[in-house]
Amino acid sequence: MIEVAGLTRRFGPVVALDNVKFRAADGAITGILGPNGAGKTTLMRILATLILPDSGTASVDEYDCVADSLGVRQRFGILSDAKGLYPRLTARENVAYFGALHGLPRRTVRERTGMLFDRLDMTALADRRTDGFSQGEKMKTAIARALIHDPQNVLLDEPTNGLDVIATRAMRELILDLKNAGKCVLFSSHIMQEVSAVCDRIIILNRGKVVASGTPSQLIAMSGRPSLEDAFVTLLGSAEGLER
Amino acid sequence: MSAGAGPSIGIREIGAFRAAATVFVKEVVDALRDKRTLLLTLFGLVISGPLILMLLFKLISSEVDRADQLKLPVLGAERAPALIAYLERERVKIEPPPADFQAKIREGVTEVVLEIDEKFGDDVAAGRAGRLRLYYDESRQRTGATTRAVRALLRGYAGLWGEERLALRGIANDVGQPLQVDVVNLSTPQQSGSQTLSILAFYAVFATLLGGVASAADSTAGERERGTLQVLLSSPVSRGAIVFGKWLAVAMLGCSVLLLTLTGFYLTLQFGPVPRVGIPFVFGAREYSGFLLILIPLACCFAAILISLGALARTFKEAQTNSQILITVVALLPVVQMFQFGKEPDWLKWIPVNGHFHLLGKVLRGDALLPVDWVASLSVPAVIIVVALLLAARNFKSRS
Repeated sequence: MIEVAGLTRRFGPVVALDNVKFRAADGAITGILGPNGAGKTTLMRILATLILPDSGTASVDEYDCVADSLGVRQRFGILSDAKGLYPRLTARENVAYFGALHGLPRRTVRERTGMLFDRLDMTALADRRTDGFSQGEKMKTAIARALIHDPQNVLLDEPTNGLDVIATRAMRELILDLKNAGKCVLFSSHIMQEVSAVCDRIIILNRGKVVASGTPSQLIAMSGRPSLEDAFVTLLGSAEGLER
Repeated sequence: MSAGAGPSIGIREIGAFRAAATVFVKEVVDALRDKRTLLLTLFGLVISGPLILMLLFKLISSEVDRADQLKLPVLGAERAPALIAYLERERVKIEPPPADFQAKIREGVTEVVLEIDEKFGDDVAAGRAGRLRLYYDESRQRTGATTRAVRALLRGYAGLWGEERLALRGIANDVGQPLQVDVVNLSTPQQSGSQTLSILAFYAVFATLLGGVASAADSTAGERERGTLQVLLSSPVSRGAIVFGKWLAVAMLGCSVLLLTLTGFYLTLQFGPVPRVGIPFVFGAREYSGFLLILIPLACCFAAILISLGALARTFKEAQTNSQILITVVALLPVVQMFQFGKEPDWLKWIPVNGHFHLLGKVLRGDALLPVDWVASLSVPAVIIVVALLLAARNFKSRS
């Protein structure tokens, strides 16, 4: 479970996050939707304990992101905007490295890696160096890496970027599986269809502020528009918000 | 996906030591797979060192051979048969000079030519000094040894001749030679050889440094450039443990390159074409282990500085540029020592690199190392390592 309250972060004169408050429950997929520059990545980074907030609190399973960052990192599986891999290591080694850093016994790492690669249809590539991987293959490896320690909370930043249709479908299924396993999934995207396809709750961020939140049907009702896309545009205040 | 909340699959809190060990192993594997850098290091350092040593030995041998078989073109040899006979007794091969020998000397084809003056016979008969002319080119370094040898022979001949004349007049030798200079060389043969071998010290220090440059840049700034740093920093491991593991890996690579380089020197000097010039070039087990013990702390110190410089950089390239600073300093410090005349000041041993050079020199000369030498070569690098790693851990964070 992820809880955020009064979260504010500035970069010089730019207010990236302004008094953000929300709660993402276990066994649910919470979508963070917003145009580019809305503050999604900053929010993800604070949750990942990579940067500190100026004020407000963020906690994961009651571990504070500032005071107990190590505890937070243990409970998080993160697919951040940086999806880099070690090019001279194989896909399996890339994943196993992070399994080891998470303190998993070697046998567990082996089993989990095999299971995840199987699930992601990556077994044939598992022992190749990631050097020549396609965008989609890299993404799958990064996802396996994020889930290696079977985290209770999963943070996915634009997880379908660069994936083809089939891979995108597989990714959706995976995310739904995580939900069914009782995980708390936080999913950020600027692509409406992605968010509406899987999310139980949607939080719309714009210019660092939460402008609306609720289930997809609540958002449609709130805006008085026929579709989620129209609702999104209306709630952002202008069509320009989508393109920025 | 496995069901159930919480870490249910045997997650253990990973200790700092195990975390560092995990990072260490990964970095070593990663660096060893970088074949191009590995080959460059191998050829650039491990092979080129012994190669230069062999060339040096070849040069020394050829100098010795040339001094052994001195060939001297003489112009007008028939004008001083006694001198020629003396030179031939001293195993000098007398040759007629080539045509336009002055041009040949300037070109470096001919090293030295002796001309006996046309009036040599008349002058000597009249009791005047006979005139000889020695042609050579001062700007050509290689002719120095030959010229010196010829001049020494001519002086020897003049001395003998003078003695004979004095003896004929019933005058004791000492009258004509009020000074007798006996030269006493206090250096042991090993110390003479150490002069030549000091090139080993220079090479070994550079191997120590360059062995870690690529992997330090790759494991710090490279991590940032590839976008793996964020992921690494969001794993439940402290930055200190990560930096420590990376430092260990870079230090180990530096030490490995050092070990290989020294082994190359050792094998070259044990089995290579070492010139027989009466000077032993000693690089045996004692020198080998001495070099290792002195340079391992330095390798660890270099690794820490390289990691620290890399943590500041945003890209691999920037990290390499940063490490140029260290390389330049390490290259310049020994130069200061070369211009140092007389005894080296005592505090010099406390300066890293300079101090280590000083100690390596001692090892090569066969001098005993004092406890204070060890304290100096260990303590200063240790302090630098701690400071550099703390700085690296502070700077090794994700920046947008």
